[in-house]
Amino acid sequence: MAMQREQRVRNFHQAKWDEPCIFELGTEGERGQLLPEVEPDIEAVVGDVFASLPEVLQRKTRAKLPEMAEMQVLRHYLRMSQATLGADLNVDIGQGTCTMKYSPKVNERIVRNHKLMETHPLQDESTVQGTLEAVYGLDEILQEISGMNKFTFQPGGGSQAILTIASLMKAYHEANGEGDQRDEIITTIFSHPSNAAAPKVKGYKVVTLYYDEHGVPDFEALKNAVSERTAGIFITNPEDTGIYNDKIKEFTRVVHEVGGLCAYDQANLNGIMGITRAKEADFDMCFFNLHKTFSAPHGCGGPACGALGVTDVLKPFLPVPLVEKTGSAYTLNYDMPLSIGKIRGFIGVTPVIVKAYAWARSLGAEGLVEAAKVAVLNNNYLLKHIREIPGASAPLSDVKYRIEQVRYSWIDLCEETGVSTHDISLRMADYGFHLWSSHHPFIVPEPFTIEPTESYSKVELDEYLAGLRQVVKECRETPEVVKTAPHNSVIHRVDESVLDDPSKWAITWRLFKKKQGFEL
Amino acid sequence: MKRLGLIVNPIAGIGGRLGLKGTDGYTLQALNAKYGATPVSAKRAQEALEVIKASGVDVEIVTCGGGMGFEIAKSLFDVVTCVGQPEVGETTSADTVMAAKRIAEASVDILMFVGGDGTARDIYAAVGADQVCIGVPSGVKMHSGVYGLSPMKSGELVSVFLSHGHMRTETAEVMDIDEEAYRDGKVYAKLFGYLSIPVDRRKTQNKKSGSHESERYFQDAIACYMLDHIMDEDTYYVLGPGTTTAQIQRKLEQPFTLLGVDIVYRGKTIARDLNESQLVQWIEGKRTKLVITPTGGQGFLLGRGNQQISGVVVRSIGMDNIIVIATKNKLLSLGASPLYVDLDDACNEGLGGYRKVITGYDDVVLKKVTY
Repeated sequence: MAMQREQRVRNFHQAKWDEPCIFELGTEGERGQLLPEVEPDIEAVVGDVFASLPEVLQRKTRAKLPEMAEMQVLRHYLRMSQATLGADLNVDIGQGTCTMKYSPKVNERIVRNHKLMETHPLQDESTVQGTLEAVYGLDEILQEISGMNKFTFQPGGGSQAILTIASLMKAYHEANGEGDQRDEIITTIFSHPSNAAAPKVKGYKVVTLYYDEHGVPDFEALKNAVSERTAGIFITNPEDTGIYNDKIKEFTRVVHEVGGLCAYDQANLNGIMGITRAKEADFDMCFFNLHKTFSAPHGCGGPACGALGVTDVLKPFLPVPLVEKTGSAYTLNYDMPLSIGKIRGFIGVTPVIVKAYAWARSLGAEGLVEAAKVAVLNNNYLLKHIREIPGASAPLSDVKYRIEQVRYSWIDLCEETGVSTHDISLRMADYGFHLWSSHHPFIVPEPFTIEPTESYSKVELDEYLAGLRQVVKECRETPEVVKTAPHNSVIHRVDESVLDDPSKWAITWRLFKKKQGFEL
Repeated sequence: MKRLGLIVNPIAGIGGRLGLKGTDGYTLQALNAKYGATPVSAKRAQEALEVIKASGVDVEIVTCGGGMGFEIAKSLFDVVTCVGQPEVGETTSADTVMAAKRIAEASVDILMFVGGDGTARDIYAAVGADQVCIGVPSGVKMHSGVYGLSPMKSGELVSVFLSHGHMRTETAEVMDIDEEAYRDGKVYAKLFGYLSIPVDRRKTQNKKSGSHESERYFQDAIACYMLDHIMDEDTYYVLGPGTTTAQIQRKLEQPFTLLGVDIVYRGKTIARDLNESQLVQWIEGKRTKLVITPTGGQGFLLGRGNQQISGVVVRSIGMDNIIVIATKNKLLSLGASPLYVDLDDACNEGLGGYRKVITGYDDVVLKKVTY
């Protein structure tokens, strides 16, 4: 008989190693591997290989890398791995907006095949037909899902896809002789900040729409915003609130009427995949983050893919090369005179593309729709139960159902107990659940955003709910315990104020030492 | 029959048009003698009472004489009880306290007062949070969260409260400017206590909020954009109150008044802390633009905290020559609420609709303006 986990929280305690930063470890002269010296006969033939390096690329001093033996390095990283609440370790649904879903391990095996791993992007296309077939295959699948006519996989993530869209809009209007006239991009306050930032990089002015009393972008404001200066709109639907904007086709109509283009930020397609399409809402472009909806792992800022699809009208402007099929052969098309050029190298991050292709093929058309339906069902199961927790609420709209996620609020609980959403999130870590942190823009007081996707079982959703109920109970009975959490985690409270202080935060060890006044 | 307490502060709001930071410590006679001021609170009380009367609710008004409510109430309602008079001809803070105590002792269902932050402080001193209250906005300083959005909205709120058997109440802050901080050049509203008010978020003013330090970065971006792309050499710029507008003068290394109205011309502050008539004189015959920002957490563009910029001033500058600036965080704090104006009818209608709000460098938000 299965254990009944749904009614109770775990007696969890995370490993705490007090592990130093790797730059603080090691001993001078210590090595992991000792490689043999170059034999004189070889050196005599090859010469000084470093002499061919331009002088500006040659270091003046040795890199100050940690000097450690292999065993100590292994131990360090194993300890670090125990100090995380990673996607494969915890019920990760508290990371709302991130679309945390399971990344099947079989797909990792596929991309580690030497036929993919050992290829080089400069190889002749005739020697990488299998890789190109996978890219072309995913293109066809995404065309069917979106209704668009061609996809590029070159953007290395969502923000690059948005930058590509802004570039396409500019190229399109310039080709029509309206490049100077159309200098405004419209977006919404709910949209990812890159939707405002990327157009600015391309020199556009940005007009932002706020939301109306129904929790969706103000349609009347849009009607007042559009003009002959409008280059286009960047919009998301549903937004991170999980509220579906049923006027979306009206939005695209109003923008098209003044000659603007419509771009659909579908970085997260998870709730409507196979149910509604960008084409039917009259969008000219859309993009999907393959690390969200299509199960490729989140890269922590590393290589990813913002797959960008466009209609036939915009296809000539796409980045080069495009993967195409001529007869039975897959080819790279660089012959696109109107192309915006390159956003990133080559055809994109092929392991990510192949993982998404494998995932989509393994589910099939029916499976993809089923995934969306289960994600929505899971979300509304949580919505019903969280609404029943005294002190929790789902503001912005009274609609009964949301799509794939919900931005909730602890404002009532906070006013009653003085415990904030930040306190609650840290206390959830004491029960082995990842804390939530992504709630932009901060329009909901004391926010928390939950997005269960289709990957989590009912037992896991119930276990998460039990965690929430337990912490809410503590807010009322022992609020000090919550306010001083976490107690069972790797580290206690940290002073987060430094994150907002440019004179203190650092993203490298060297910069940290410099800002702290240590000897470099 | 329900019982409605009524207290009118006869001199509340007069200081706005005069460019004063409030009328605490003044008498109506003194203001009349010095500035030729005309009362505004009586008119606002009447607007609120007319809404209550129109709602048909069966109500007895409990109030005081000497301009504190009895005369206006008697002109509109049949059952009006007078429970006190000012000590001497002119009302003072002590009279407001006395009136509030007596009205509360008469067991009213709700006490409606007409005034600003000074009046709210007096009401709080008299009745604390025990008596359900609502403010009718008529002050210069209105940092407290105890007022309806307009006299009519206050009247609607009272009508609903009296008609419903049970309406949720909440405590709302009674705030006033921290004068010590103000002298140091900072607008910090100081908390003096709480009044109990009926809950209707749409009909009650959010409390104003001082600017967080991080806001300075955004204000700086707005100021840079204004100086780089908007402000030209041939125009006089009337800058309304607020830390966001003041940032423009900071960037220019010019003096400014945080709560006053200044004029900037060719990069220099050429006039400071102007009242309505001074403004009218300054802008006459000149190419002028008005730069304003919503005050605190209320979302009011005009008519609150900047009453110097009256309908006369706005018409003189021209409706199309108004530039609105605000940080995105300030706009987010307003939720889905629009921006408000509260001037005369013609101005309100002329300013209504969707307006661009400059929120950063080459960055605008479209917000609805209503009244």
